Amino acid sequence: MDFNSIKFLIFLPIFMLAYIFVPEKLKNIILAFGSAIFLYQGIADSPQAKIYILLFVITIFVNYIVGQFIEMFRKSSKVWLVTGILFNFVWLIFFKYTGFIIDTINVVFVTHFTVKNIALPLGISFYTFQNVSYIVDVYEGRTKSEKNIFNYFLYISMFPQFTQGPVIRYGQIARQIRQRPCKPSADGLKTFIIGLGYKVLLADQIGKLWKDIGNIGFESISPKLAWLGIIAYSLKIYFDFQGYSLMAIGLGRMMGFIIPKNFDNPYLSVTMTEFWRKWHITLGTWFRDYVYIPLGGSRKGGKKLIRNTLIVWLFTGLWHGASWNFILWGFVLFVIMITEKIFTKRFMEKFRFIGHLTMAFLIPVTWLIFAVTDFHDLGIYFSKILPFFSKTEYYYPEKDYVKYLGIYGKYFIAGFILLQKFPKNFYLKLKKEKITSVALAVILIASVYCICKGKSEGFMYFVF
Amino acid sequence: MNKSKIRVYFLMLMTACFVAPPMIMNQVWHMSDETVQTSSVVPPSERKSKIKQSTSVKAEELTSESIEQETSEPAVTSSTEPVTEPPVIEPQFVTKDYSYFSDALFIGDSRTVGLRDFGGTVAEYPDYFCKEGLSTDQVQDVWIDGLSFNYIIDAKQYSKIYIMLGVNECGNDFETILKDYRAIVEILKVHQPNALIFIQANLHVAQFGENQYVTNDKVHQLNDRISELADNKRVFYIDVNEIFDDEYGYLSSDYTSDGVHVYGKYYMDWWNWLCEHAVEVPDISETTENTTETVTTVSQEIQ
Repeated sequence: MDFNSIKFLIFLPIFMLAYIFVPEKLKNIILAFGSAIFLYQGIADSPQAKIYILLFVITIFVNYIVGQFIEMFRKSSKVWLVTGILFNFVWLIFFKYTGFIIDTINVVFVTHFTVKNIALPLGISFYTFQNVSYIVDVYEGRTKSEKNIFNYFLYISMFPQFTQGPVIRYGQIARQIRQRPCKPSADGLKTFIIGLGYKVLLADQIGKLWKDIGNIGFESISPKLAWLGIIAYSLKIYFDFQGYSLMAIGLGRMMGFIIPKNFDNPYLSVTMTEFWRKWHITLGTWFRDYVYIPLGGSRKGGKKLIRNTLIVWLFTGLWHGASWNFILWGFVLFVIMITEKIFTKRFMEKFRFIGHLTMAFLIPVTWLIFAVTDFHDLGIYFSKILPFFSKTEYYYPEKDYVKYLGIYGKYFIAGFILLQKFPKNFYLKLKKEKITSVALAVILIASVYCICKGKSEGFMYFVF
Repeated sequence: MNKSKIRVYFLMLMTACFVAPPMIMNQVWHMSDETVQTSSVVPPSERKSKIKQSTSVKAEELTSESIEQETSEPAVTSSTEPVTEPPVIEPQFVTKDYSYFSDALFIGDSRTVGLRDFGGTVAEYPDYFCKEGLSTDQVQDVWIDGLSFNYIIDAKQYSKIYIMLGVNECGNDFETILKDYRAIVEILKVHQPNALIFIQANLHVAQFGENQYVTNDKVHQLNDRISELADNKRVFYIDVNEIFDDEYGYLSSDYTSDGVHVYGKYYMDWWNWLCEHAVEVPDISETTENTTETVTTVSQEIQ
C-alpha cells in the first residue's frame, strides 16, 4: 500500500483506532497485525506473492537465529556473521542485479544469455540493510541480540518504515518496541499530513513537468526548458522522498515511536559532502558505519581514504538502481567530494554564497545522471543544458519554457520556499494554533482530492 | 538456550541457507518474463517503403495459405477462399514544398498544436485554430488567442484547410461527433468556397495509451466514419498513421512516450508526409460563368 493511496487512508484510521484503544501490552500485537496486512496488501497483486511472503519469513528467522548464534558462540561468531551477511545480500543481488549482470555480460562478451525481468520484493533494499546492520551490531557488541522473535519481526516489518525506510538501527528502536518513549500524539498526524501534502500537492505536480519533457523528447526542448526540467526533477525527488519520510515519522509518532529523521534541509548545503550528510541521512550513516569505517575510513592514509570513498559511492549509486547510469552517478559524486576534500571545501564553507551557487548547478546536474538511464538520451540532455557543446539536429521551439513556467511557476516558488529553514520554524511556532489545524485540514482534503482524481503517483524510492 | 533449541535453530538456518535459495530462485526465475530487447528505432520517414513491402507480402501469404487449405480439404471450395479486398485506387496526391501551406489553415487538438510547435520553418506558413483538448462540439464556441472560429473563417480566404478532430471525444456517441464534424465542413464550404478541405485521420494510440474512453479500436472506427465525409473533389481524407503504426495498427511505442502523442521530433516527418499528400489547387477561372471544376487529379472508387 502506498501512503498516498485511498486504501491506506482508509486503513490508517481503522488501525489507529484499534491501536489507541487497546491496552499498552497489546499495542505491539495490533502493530504486528497492521504491518502484516500492510505488507500483504503491498504484494497481493503479484503472482509471486506467496514466495515473497515465504522469503520474508525465512529472512526474519535467519537473521534472528544468526544474531543469537553470534552472541552465543563467540569463537565461531565470524562464521555466523559472514553466513548472515551473505544470505541477506544473495537475495538482494538475485532480485535486483541479476538482470543487470547478465545484460552487462551479454554486452561485453557479445553473448546472448536470457535476461529476465525479476520483480523486486517490496522493501528489500531497505530491510536487507536493516538486517545486516543488526547482525553486525551484535557482532561488534554494540547491541545485545533480540531473544524475542516477535519483537525482531516488528523491528523489520513495522509498516511506517517498511517500504522506503528510514533505515532504522536495531539499537534505535529495540527499547521503543518494549516501551514507547512517548504517548501517541496528534503531532504525529500533523507531521503525516505535511508529508502527504509535500508528496501529493508539490512533488507529484511539479514532477509532471519532467514527464512532459519526456513526452516531448529531449531533442525537441530548448536549453531553458531543459534547465527548468532538471530543477523540477530536483524539487520532485526531494519533496517526494522527504514527504514520505515525514509521513513515516508522523505515523511513528502517532504510535509513540521516535523514528529518526532522514533529511536536514539538504538543498541549503554549500558542498556536496554536506549535502550527503543531510540527504537520506540513514542511508549515508549506514554506508559510513558498515562500509567506510570497517574498511578503515580516513584512518589509513590518503590512498585508502580515496579507495574507501570510491567504494562507498559506487555502491551507493548501485543501491539506487541496477543500471550503469547509477554507477556513473555514484562515481561523479565521488569525484566531486574528493575534489571538495582536497581543494574546495573550506573555500565553499567560508564563502557560502559561492558554495550555494555551485550547488545550485551541481544538484540538478547530478540528479540528471540519476534520472536518465539511457546514455544516448543523457548525452542529448547534457547537450541541452551545456549548449556550447551541442550541435542541434532537431528543431526546438525557443519560447517553449514560457508556457511551462506559466503552468508550473507556482510549484517552483512553493518548492523554493519550502526547502528553506524558516517554514519549519514558522510551523513549530504555530503548531498549537487553531489556524494550523485548519491549514492542515485543507492540505489533507486537497491531497485526498488529488489522489481520487488520479493526479498522484507512486513514490520514487519505492522502486529501490 | 538449551541444546535442542540450538539444534533446531541450526537446522532451520542450514535449510534456509542451502535448501531454500535454489528452490526459490528457480521458481522465481521461471515465473519471470524475459526482457524485451529494444532494437534501434526506424524513423517514420523510412517506414513507408517497408510498409508497402509488408502489405504485399501479407497478400501473398494469404493466397498461398488458401491454396494449402484447399488441397487439404478438397470437398470444400469457395468458403475457404480468402476474402481479399478489391484493390483500392488511391487518390492522386502530389508532392509540394513547404510554401504549399502559406495559404492554409489548420484546425485541431493537441496534435495540431504539436505540428505547430515542433514544425520549425514549415509550421510558420499556415494559420492555426488549435487547442489542447479541442473537440468538434467546441469549435464554434471556443475562443483561441482572442479569436473565434467564425471570425477566422471570414477574415481570410484559404486555399487549403486541414482538420484533425475527434479523438478527444472518442468516448461519446459517434453520430453526434459526425454531425458536428459535418457541420464544420459545411460551414467551411460556404465561408471558404475556394478551399480544399483535408480531413486528417486521428492519430492512433499505443496499447499502453488506451484508457476507458479512448481505445485504439474506437479511434480506428471513428476514422472510418470520418472518412465518409470525403468526396475526393473538395474534401479529402488523409491518414498519417501509415508512418507511425506498428504491425498491429497501434501507434508504435518507438514514436511515443505518453502513448497518444508522438515525440516532438517526429512532427517534421508528419509535415513531410503532408507535403507528399497535397492536392493540386484548382484554377479559379477568371470568367464567372465557368463553373465546371478543373480538378483532374483525383479519382477513387469507393466501395
